[in-house]
Order: sequence, then structure tokens, then C-alpha cells
Amino acid sequence: MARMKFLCDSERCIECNGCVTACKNEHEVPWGVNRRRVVTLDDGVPGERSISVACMHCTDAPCAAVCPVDCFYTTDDGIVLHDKDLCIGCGYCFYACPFGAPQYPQKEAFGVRGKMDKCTFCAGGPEGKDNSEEERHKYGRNRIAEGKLPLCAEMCSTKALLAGDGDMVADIYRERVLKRSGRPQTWGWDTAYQEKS
Amino acid sequence: MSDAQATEGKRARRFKAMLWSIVVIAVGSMTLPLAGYLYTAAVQAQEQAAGDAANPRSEYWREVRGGMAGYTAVVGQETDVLIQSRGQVWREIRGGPVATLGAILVLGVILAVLTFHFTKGGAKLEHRTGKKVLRWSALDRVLHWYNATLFIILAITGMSMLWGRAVLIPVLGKEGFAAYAAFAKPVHDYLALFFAVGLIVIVLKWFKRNIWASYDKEWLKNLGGSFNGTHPPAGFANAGEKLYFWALVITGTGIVVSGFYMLFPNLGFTREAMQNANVIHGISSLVIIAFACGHIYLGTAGTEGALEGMWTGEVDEGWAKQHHGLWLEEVKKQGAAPAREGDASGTSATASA
Amino acid sequence: MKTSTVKLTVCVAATLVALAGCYGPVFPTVYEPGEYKGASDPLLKTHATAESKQALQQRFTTSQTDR
Repeated sequence: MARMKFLCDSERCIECNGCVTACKNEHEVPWGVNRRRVVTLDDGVPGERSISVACMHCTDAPCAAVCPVDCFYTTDDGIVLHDKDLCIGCGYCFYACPFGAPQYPQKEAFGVRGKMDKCTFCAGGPEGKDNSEEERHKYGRNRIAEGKLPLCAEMCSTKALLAGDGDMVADIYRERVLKRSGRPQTWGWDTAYQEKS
Repeated sequence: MSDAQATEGKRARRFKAMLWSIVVIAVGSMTLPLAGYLYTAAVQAQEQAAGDAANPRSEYWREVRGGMAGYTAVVGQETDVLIQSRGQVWREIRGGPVATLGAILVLGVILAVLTFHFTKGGAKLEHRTGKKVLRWSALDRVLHWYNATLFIILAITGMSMLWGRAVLIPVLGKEGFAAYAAFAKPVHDYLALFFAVGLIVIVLKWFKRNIWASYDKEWLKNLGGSFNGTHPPAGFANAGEKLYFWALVITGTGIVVSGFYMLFPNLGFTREAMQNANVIHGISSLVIIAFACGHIYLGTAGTEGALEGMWTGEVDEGWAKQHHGLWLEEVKKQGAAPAREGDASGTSATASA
Repeated sequence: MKTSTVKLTVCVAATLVALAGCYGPVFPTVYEPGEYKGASDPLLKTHATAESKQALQQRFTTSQTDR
């Protein structure tokens, strides 16, 4: 079975925020909620890199592990989704997530947060009928059910953001790395090469 | 060779030597200062070679992993941080030691209480005199039951947030538990404020009665006489009650302060602050819940005649003599009619509060 | 109370305490960024040889340069 993954090629991302806008428009997410964002590191200095980040659909998802009402589930495609009918807006998934993916429509005194909202990999929610009015209202479009990939990646002007089966995404990226013969932006470089700067 | 010729040659050589010295000095004075440049250039070249050998990006991503902030156009809580890895630490600590040791602690205290009750048994009232002594004023009783009710509600709703998934979901089902949790969470959040106020009032009002005294050591040494049947000295509050009070002060502070961090997401506390607050909140609450289990037992089934004091305000003189001998003596010294006048320490505490 | 009821209650309580111990790891590995706490890597030794070092260095100079 395929495992759906996002990958953002930091060599290609130009911080156009097209993915952010596309996502907001496609899913009609509430004001103040951004399922995806672009973070620019070392902004304005040599070596600047931009990365588009949303829910990374972790295999061992911390949000799912800490949720007190156990509202998260992983689909057969490896997409981490949640059930807004169960969510109580406690904020634990926001504490646990390394990427800051879980967002809340409200942020008021006495812990009033509303139901959590996050990237669904354009796969909707647990509603029985795909792309029903209810599902669209709660989770946005279900493009996966239509056989399409997430809109953020489809819209990416430089094809920096890749989405789809993890194996295929990895193949595309590996090809790119070989073609541009750049160093892979991997960790553990020092360990492998035993060189310290 | 003539003498004149020899002196001529000598002079020529001297001149030559002088000329060369001047040239050497001139060239040297011009080139030597440049050696500094040469040195720095060499060092730079060396550094360049070393720099080329290592991947400049290797530390870059490690810094990002460590929570380095960048720039983002999206406005929101810590949106400029790409990776915040403390959440994993929080997850491991909350789901590991806090939940596990907390469960062992609370259930262990309940087990210890049950075992004690069924083997040794609680303290019986040895001699009921029928004479009453006022122990708790109406205000004390109202404060106690106000805090007790809130404490139990907050403890139950709080523990369902921690263990509900493991314990209640198999019983109620996901929908059932979510319906309960959606109700329990706001209840916990709003009642917390009332509990915090009650806690502060109760701590201030009962502060004086719970100051450690020299004879409290003996009470602790005998474990209150629960096992050896003695009646160690105790004032208005015995050493056990004082311990419970101070535990309440310490954990209560932790609970209220950490709760504040989690209760107001609108104030923009960082995720790390909220993670730490959650762990402190959990540990403090579980410790005081364990204490409270002991307190509830000792105040009801564990000590005959104790509950009527908190219910009617008056205790039997026999009970007072058995459990709070020093206090009874003091009450008797204070006035001939102690039954209706209230106790000395109680009034002084009221005055201070 | 009957002795059997008492025994049952205490037994249930003891079982619950024992079960509570199965909830989660009491001493989890807490990872910090940039700190490796896993098992030692057996492949590291192979990199120590001069041959593999040279091979890696060659690959490095031919392709892995900052653009």
C-alpha cells in the first residue's frame, strides 16, 4: 500500500506562498487558520532556504498519541486524519506536533479553542459519503477521493512541493539530486564523512 | 701589488658591501611588512580548504531541528519555527512516567487504605462523653465543602483527560467518551477559577493552625498512633493534617500557576511553556489526589467521630481528647463554656484571614 | 462486611495497581536535538579505513560542492 508523503525541495522553493493560498481557497478554511505555511530560514543572507510545511502525516504521529479522545486515525494511504465530531479542542495535539500543524479557529480565555483543523492531504474526513456537503464544510475538498493529489503540490510553480506515494516522491527527488549533482540535504553528513567544519 | 692598489681594492669592496646592505635594507623594509598579508592569505587558503571539506549545510538542518526561527508570512503562534522537537519530549513524559507512576501512586494509596481498613481498621471513638466542643465554624465548613466538591469534580474531569482514553473509551465508546469529554473539559476549565479562589482563601484562613510545632515530630514517629494504639500529642491540627495542608500549599501553587498557562491560549504562551505547565499540572494534581484519598479515608471511615465535626461543626469531647488533646486543653483554658464560644486558634485564624 | 467481599475488593485494587504499571514506559528515552542516543553504528568502523575515506573524499570533491 502506498504511503502518502509531502516533500518540499528547499533548492526549488521560491517562497511564493502559492501553496498556502491554494490550500486556503480550495478548502475554505476559517479565518486565522493556515493549514500550510512557508518558512524562510536565514532570510536575506546567503544560504537562505524556504520550505513549505504542513501536516507531515507522521507514521508515529505525536498528535494521535496524545489526543485524550483518540480522534485521530491513519487511512490505508498513510494519511493522518481526525474526526472533528470527537475533537474537544484541548490543544494537546498542538503541544505535541513538531511542525505546528494543528490549528484552532478560536483562541480565547479559559481554553476556548474550537475544533482543531489541520491539513487533510486533501482527503477530507471520516464522513461516510465523500465530498458530501458536511464533509466539505468540516474538512474541505476530498481530492483524494476524486483521484487527485493535494492542490498545494499540484499548484506549485517550481514543483518544489511534491506530494504522493512516498516511494515515487523519493524517486523524483533522488533523480533531481543526481541531475543537479548537488549534495543531498541530509543529516548525518559529518557522521558519514567524518569531517568537521 | 703596491700598497696604494691594496687600499683601493679595500675601498671598492667596502663600497660594494655598503651598497648591497642599502639594497637589502630597502627591499627588506618594503617587503617585510607585506609578510603579514602573506600570512593571512595562507591561513585563509587553509581555512578554505578545511571549509570545502565539510558540508556547510550539515549544521544548518541541525539548527532547524533545534527550533531555529525563520521568517513566515503566516501570522500565528510560533509559525516561524519550522520544527519544535520539545513536543516529543512532552509526549514521552506525559504518556510515560506521569501517567504510569501517577496511576500507581493513586491506586497504590487506595489499595493501602483498603488494606489498612480491612486489617487494622480505623480509629474507634474510645469514649463518647456526649459533651460537644465547637471545632469548625460555619464559614470553615462552607469553605471546606466548597473546596472539596470542586476538588472532586476537577480531579475526576482532569483524570479523565489523562486516563480516559485507556480506561473510559473501552467502556463508553469513542462517541460516548467524546461527548462526556466535550462537557468535562469546559467544566474543568471554568471551575478551575473558582477552585483557585477557594484554595487561596482556605490556605490563608487555616495557615496559623498548620504551623509546625515541636510535638508534631512525636505524632509522626508514632504514625498518629494508627498502628500502636497510642495517642501522640496534637493541637488543633495533627502532624498528618499539617502535612496534607502543606502538600496542598505546594501542589496547589503548582496546579494554579501551571493551569493559568494552559487556560489562556490567547495570551500567547509558547508551546514549550504549555508543555512544561502540563507536566507540572499533572504531577502536582496526582500527588495531591493521592494525599486527598488518604485524607478522605481518615476523615470518614478511618476515624470515628471525625466527619460529624465537619458536618455539624461540633465534635465529641471524648473524640477531641483522643485525637487533639492539646487543642482540647487549650479550649478548656480559654473559657468555661467552650461548646458555643468557638476555639481559640480558630478565632485567631479568622482574625488573621 | 463478608470476608470474601473484602478479599475480592483488595484483590481487585491490587490488580489495578499492577495493571497501572503496564500503562507506559516509566523511563522513556528523551531525545534532544543534535544528541544521538541510539545504538552505536557498526558501519562507522568501515569508514575508518584509509581506502573508504579516500573514496568518500573523492566523491565529495567531484559532486558534493556548494553551488
